[in-house]
Amino acid sequence: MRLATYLGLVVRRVWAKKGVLFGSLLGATLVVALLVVVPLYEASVQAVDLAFSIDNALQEETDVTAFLTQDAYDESTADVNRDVVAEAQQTWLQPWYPDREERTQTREFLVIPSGPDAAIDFIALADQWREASCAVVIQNGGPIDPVPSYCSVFEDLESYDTDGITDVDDLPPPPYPRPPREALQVRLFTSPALPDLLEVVDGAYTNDGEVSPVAYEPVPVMIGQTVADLAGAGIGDSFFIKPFSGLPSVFEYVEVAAIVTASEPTAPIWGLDDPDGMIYWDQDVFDAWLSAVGTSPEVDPWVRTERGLSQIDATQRWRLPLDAGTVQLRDIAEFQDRLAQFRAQVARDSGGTIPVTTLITILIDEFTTRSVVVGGPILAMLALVVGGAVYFLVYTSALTVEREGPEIALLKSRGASAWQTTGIHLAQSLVIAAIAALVAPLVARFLVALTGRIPPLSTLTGGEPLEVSQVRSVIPFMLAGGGLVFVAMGVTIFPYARRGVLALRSLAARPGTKSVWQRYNVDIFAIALSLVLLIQLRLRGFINRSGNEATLDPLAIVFPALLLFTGALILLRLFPYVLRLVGWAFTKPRNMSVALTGWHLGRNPVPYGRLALLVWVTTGLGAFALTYAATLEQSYADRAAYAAGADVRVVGSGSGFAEVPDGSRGTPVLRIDGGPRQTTRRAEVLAVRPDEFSEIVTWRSDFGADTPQEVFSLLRPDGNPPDVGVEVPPEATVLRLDGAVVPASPQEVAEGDPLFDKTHRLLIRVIDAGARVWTMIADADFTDREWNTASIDLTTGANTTYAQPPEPPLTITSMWVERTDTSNSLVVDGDTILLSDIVAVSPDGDEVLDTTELTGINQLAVDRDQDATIAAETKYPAGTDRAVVESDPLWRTGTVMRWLLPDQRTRADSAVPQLWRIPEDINVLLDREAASIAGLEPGSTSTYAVGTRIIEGTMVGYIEAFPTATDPRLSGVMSIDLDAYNAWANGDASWSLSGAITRVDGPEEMWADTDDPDAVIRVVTAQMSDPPDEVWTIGGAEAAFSSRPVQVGLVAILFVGAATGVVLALAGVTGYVLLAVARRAREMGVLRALGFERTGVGVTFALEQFVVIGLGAAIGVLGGIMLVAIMLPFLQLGETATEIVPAILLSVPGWQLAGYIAIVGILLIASVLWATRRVSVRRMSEVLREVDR
Amino acid sequence: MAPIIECRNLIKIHKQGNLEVVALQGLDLTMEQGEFMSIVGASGAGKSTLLTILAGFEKPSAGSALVAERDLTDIAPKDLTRYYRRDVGFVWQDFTRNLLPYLKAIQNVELPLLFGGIGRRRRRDRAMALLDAVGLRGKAHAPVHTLSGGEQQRLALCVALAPGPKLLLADELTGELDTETSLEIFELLRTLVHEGGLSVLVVTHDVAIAKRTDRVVRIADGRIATQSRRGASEHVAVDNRGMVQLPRDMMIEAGIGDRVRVKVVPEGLLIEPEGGIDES
Repeated sequence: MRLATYLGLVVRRVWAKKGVLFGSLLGATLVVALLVVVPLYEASVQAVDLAFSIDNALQEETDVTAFLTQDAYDESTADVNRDVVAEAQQTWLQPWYPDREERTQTREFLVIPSGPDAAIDFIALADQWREASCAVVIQNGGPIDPVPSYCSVFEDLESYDTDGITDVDDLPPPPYPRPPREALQVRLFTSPALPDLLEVVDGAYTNDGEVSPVAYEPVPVMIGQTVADLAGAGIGDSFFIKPFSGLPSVFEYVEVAAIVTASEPTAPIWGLDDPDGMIYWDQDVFDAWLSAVGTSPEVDPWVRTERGLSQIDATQRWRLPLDAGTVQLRDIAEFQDRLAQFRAQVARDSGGTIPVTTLITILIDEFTTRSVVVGGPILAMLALVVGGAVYFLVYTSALTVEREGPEIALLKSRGASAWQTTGIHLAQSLVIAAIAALVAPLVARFLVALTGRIPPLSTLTGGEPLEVSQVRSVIPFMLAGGGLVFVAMGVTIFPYARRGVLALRSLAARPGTKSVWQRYNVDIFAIALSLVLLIQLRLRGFINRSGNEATLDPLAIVFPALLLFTGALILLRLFPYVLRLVGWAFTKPRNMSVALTGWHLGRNPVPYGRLALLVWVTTGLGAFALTYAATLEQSYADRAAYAAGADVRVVGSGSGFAEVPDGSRGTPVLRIDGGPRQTTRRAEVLAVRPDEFSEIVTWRSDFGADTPQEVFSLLRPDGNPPDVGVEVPPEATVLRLDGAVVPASPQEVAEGDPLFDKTHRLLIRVIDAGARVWTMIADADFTDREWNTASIDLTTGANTTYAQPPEPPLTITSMWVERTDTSNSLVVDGDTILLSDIVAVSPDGDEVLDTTELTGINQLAVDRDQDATIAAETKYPAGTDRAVVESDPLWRTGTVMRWLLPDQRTRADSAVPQLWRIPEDINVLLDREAASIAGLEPGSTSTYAVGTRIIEGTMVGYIEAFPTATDPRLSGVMSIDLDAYNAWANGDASWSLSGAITRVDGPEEMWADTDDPDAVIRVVTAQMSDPPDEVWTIGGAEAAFSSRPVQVGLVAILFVGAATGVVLALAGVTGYVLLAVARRAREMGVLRALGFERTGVGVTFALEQFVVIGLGAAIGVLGGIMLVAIMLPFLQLGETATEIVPAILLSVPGWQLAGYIAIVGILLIASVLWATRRVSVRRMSEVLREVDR
Repeated sequence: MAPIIECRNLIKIHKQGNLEVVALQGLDLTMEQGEFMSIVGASGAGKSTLLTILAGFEKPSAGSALVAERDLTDIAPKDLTRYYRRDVGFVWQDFTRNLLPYLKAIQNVELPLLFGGIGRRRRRDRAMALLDAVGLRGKAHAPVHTLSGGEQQRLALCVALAPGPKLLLADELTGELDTETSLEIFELLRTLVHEGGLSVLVVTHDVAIAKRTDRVVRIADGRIATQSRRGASEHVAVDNRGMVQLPRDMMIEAGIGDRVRVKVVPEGLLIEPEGGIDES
């Protein structure tokens, strides 16, 4: 057959069927456009993300910096270096870094005042020295011959008193300027662009740096305002500058020509320097004076032959600011390559002396990783779209072929071969595919641009159309889309091509039954394959890492598509059974339309599977998109809450003890490392106050229990704070007690034993209600001379770093004594101390404290019922008159507590003999990781390392995740009671009488529950001595997570997917219903002929479709949600390719889904009704005529 | 000369789910070349099944069917295409389904020639000749939908005859036409048979129409019941078990009921009603 004629036939056929085929063309164009949209959209969003990343980066992150420190700055080397950087910049970075800033800065110089008003007038001294030297020469002759001409300025040199010096060499060295003790330190600064960088406040900019040949004149300089203030220098004033280190003769005499300030104080060129705190020279002056400048001894007061500041360290630094708009997505690879080339060339040409630094490579690496990782869901979406679109095409194409069955039969009966009949269809598909492929990119561009105008992307683009990136990857997608359309449409003819004429003629009236998938159990195979893939993906994750590159595992792309395919096949297999069931149920009512629907559904449910599948795929797409977006949004919120831990978290020294404003609640948290069983793998330890903390922490039920109270109450099973010592009545302001040191033996007393006459001071360790640890010191010593009464002021403590005074009630955890004399290094040495009861003094009355729960440790022997008389009795030999003994100031009756202290303890020995409340075993919560490392389970008792402490504890339960515990260096999490730990960590004594009080581990985090985060931050930070290390708020953290364009774009594209689902469903359902109408005309005609109402016919028909669509939509929604659930493990890798904490949880947007289903439902019902109307409004004669045929 | 159709013991069983319907029960039929034959019979007798087997649209369950010396019982798809292109033409009852509506009249006629690889000029000449023969030359370039029913059926005839088949098969060829048009079509066919050597087999309900063919074969219960040639006595088939099936109209005319008496007479076999021949 002649090809041209054949094609002519095809064209005539296409033209004749243009109405029907236009619908196919629209569908095909939409499918290809969807495929093209994905790379186009991804690229555009990535471009926005890239621009966003760069625009929002600090300049320090995007700049390229080259620098070099010369040991001895000289102009020629500086010029060479400048050329090296400039040439490399010109060669490699010009498009992105067109500009270059250069600055050169010295190390510190000292400012030495000069002139008559200065403490030392060095020029006058120099003149005196010079006069003296001239006098020596004149009077004695010497090595200087002839006499220097400058000597002529001095008169009467012959009578000058040279103090006996006859040789010039015997003169003291010249009086070079020496800096005062508190000399002002400044740096010299210059730049080729200095005139533009400075704004002259007083005087005039100068570039005059000439050496005066006739007189010792100062070099004009410009000084910053702060320098002027500190040096008290004004215009015309002069002073010396001298390098911090260097030869005595290296200094320079300068005069203030201008007082300047920075024209842009925050300009990046200043870096961390204060522009007002430097001295400036124009670049030429700087180059000239930072080398040896020849001068004449005749004019130099110190008789030098050269001036200047030679051998000075100076750092040349070039900053190449990024022209942000020039970094395009398509150039990223080249950009990175050229950065590397720039770095290499600078290193090569400078001999490795000029290093280049830039953070933009990290920025781009992060962007690339983010693109890959976030690209995963987009590609999954692509797979879904492709899956749905292919099915849509195959489906509609199959419908078309079925309608054309009689025509194919006719062609075959007229002698058309199988290839000739298929050829017509294939050529027709090719025409549609080609047109679709050509038109689709334009449609895609329009759609992508449009998304920029629609929230959420419009918030980033300012409502402007999204700039569509020109990406080459569109071409393969376009071709692939065209190919896909061709294959999907073309492939449908093959099952029919070999069918007989009669079978083809009956196609339009009798739809197919069992699918080929079921016939050959392909669905079972696909399910098995999906399971294998799922297991594989779970094992290996969905990101491949080779070297520094992260790429998406191809399986991650295949899996969703296969899953969709498999799900569809399962549906096809199971759906008929469901329909039969529904059909059976529908036959029960008496309504004829309902009954007919039931009979029809039950009699032959198989053909409905395809319609249901289409609805399932499309609604599944929408449900997937909405659920995924909601899950992602929820994850951002969860991650923000997890990272912040509470509404506000302020980290920094003193924050844990800060008070929060009224209306807010705060709790201190101590974060330290440690772990069970002292394993080498340390866990992150968080000590909290369970009751307070539970009220404040952000929580999710998968962290360990439905409420934090359930978990953290395990730390305090009885709900009470741990008993950590002797509680002082809340109203008590002072503790008072008597005490004395038992003297040495009488003999030793008599012999003036050095132990005699020792004095001890009592100290107590107190923990207040705010978990603050205080060391309180008695106001008087205990001596071996007499009983003394000592008081301890409870309203203050030795540790004064806290902003607030001790907060009652106070708990005494430890008591100890230290010698107050410092004659030797011994802090205790076998002393015996007697102490009376401790009385808490308060306005309500005195109360004796019961200290029996305190135990002596570290070799402190305690006897609580000792006779007080031993103090005096020990002092006197046996047989001493009792009256003498009883009259001694050490005499006292009654019982007291006796402390027997160990021998020879110095401050180096950290084991302080003390009376200590030995803390109870601590309750510990562990996460699974920490527990498994240590092999512990609830109920296990073990030792735990907390910081440097080893404590006894019992694991009381698991905590699955602890907000804010994200330190990647640590393995697992452990949580303990802050107050219990406080007693262990800080409750015992440390030598405190002289030197700093040591070992106080305080909570350095304040977690707060508040409606006004700003107020909390303001109030807490105001109480801190230093600025906070970190400040977290949930809102701030969430903004950081979710404002990334890729995330926003991802959500947007998901909604595009949802909308696509609606369009596909509409087109597919309408097509199906129209075909069904054609097929069922005979049946409907018969029903009408039997007297069935026109409306009843419509209702019957519509009801069938509604049942099928409803079931399909329900399954679709469930399927879409399930797909997200299955994909969740693969999404656990976050935007930075690190595990997301806390884990992403499925979030089903009930209302959104309901809205989506409502919209889809209304549209589908409308399409069904429209098509159904064509059945019910047809004339009886017309329908019956169709019956005859 | 070999017969154009030769069917021996043709059996066709249709399967509809678990139900088996025997459409043809050992049918024997021979048709000579150049013969104009009609097949008549009641609904479900098997005439359409026979036609579809002869057209190659479906295969017999057993027996043999040779058409134009091609064995249709086991014909390969490639040979079937050749069969359509060279040997057989088919006209469906629904004349609208014999034609492609998007082609003009002449293009429809050219279509089989196009599939057969015939050159443009020969195609056009052949198509015009056929259209001329059926009186549609003036409407050669008319769209199909502008033609009347008779014109469409004549056009369908042209399409079927375009490749120059040896056999024309027609299913209720004039079923949707008025009598006058039907007669015109039949006269046309007769001319083609007698002048062109074409063999024509038509299936029809209409006995009056059938009688205009050279031979009328009546099928009942999947077998040939009787056959009669134009102007000759009617032949009744006897199967290999000696069973004879009489046409109903003949039985009514002869007053034959449930039982008959049979006797051998010098001329052959005499079949008379059980009660004997009513001499009156």
